[in-house]
Amino acid sequence: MAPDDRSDRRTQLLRGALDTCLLALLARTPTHAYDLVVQLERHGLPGVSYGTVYPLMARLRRQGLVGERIEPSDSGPPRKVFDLTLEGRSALSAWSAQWAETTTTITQLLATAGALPEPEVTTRVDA
Amino acid sequence: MSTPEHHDRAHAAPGGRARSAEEVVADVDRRLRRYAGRADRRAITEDLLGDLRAAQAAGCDPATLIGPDVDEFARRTVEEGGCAKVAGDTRRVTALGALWSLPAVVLGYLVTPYAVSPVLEAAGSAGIDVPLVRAGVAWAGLGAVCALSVLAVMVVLLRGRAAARPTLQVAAFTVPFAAAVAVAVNTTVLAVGPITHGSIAVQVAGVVVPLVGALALARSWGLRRAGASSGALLPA
Repeated sequence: MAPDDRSDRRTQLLRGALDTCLLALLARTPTHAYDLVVQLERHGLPGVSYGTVYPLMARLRRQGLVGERIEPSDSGPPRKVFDLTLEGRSALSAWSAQWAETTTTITQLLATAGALPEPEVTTRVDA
Repeated sequence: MSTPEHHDRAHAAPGGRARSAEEVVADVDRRLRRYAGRADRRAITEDLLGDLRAAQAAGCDPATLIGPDVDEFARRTVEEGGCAKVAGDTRRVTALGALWSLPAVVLGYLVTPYAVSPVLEAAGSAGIDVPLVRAGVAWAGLGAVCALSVLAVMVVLLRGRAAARPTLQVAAFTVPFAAAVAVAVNTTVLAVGPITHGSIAVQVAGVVVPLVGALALARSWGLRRAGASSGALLPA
């Protein structure tokens, strides 16, 4: 598979899960939009730009899942810091469970079909 | 998803220097004009300017943050934020829908006699040859063909547009209702008196006004439903 194809495929896979990732990061530490991009990169998602995260934050705010407040910054003008609302915490819990259930099902399917090693084998090799 | 490395020459200011947060936001604001009203545009740009100034102070290039496709950034921000130009879109879709539908309605007038005559012949051979039934079947057939033609036009017109599905769902009720009103107006005008320029104008208005109303109602209601359920006015 060409690198571009791999990147497109990864983008498609991420599209449905990125909002959950953002909620999870904000649940741990309220922060601003650019820092979310940096944190995503640190967690192994380097291809996600601010230009992707900012519109997504607009949706999460509109849905009432994320709140905002202005905080002073040491390095420049005050910044808008996002945090999770109660609805956001509830959504994070539901979306995380849904993600885990979906990925488990797909992993099992792929393993059963022989496209992935059996989970037990992977565990033994890791150990 | 664009990557931070995608910063290209189009995002550099003349002379090759990095653009300031203000310049980048001015560019975003220009693109936003296509998608959002003034109040929403101001809210987005004020918010964005604060963010980009802070990022710039922290050593980040504002243009790189937005990415190479500023138009896509503006469009997605508006759509995800649920502040697309709803009123403008309703007017546009209604006008286009009405314009495209008129040939469909004329086609309905031309096609219906061929579609209805077998039904009438069957009714006649079954001994049901009452003139009232004949007229009723003809008008109902005409209304049905025109309504289906308009809905087919809307399916094509709404392809790829925001809230297409909810709009069609509402149109499935409003367009047949408009067809019924048009049939009622036309049969009344024909029953009341002789055909004059005035009566023809009333007949035409009896088709166009309910049609425009049905399309406008379907679009605005469909957009509102899409906004209420998902908030985002993305193609649905």
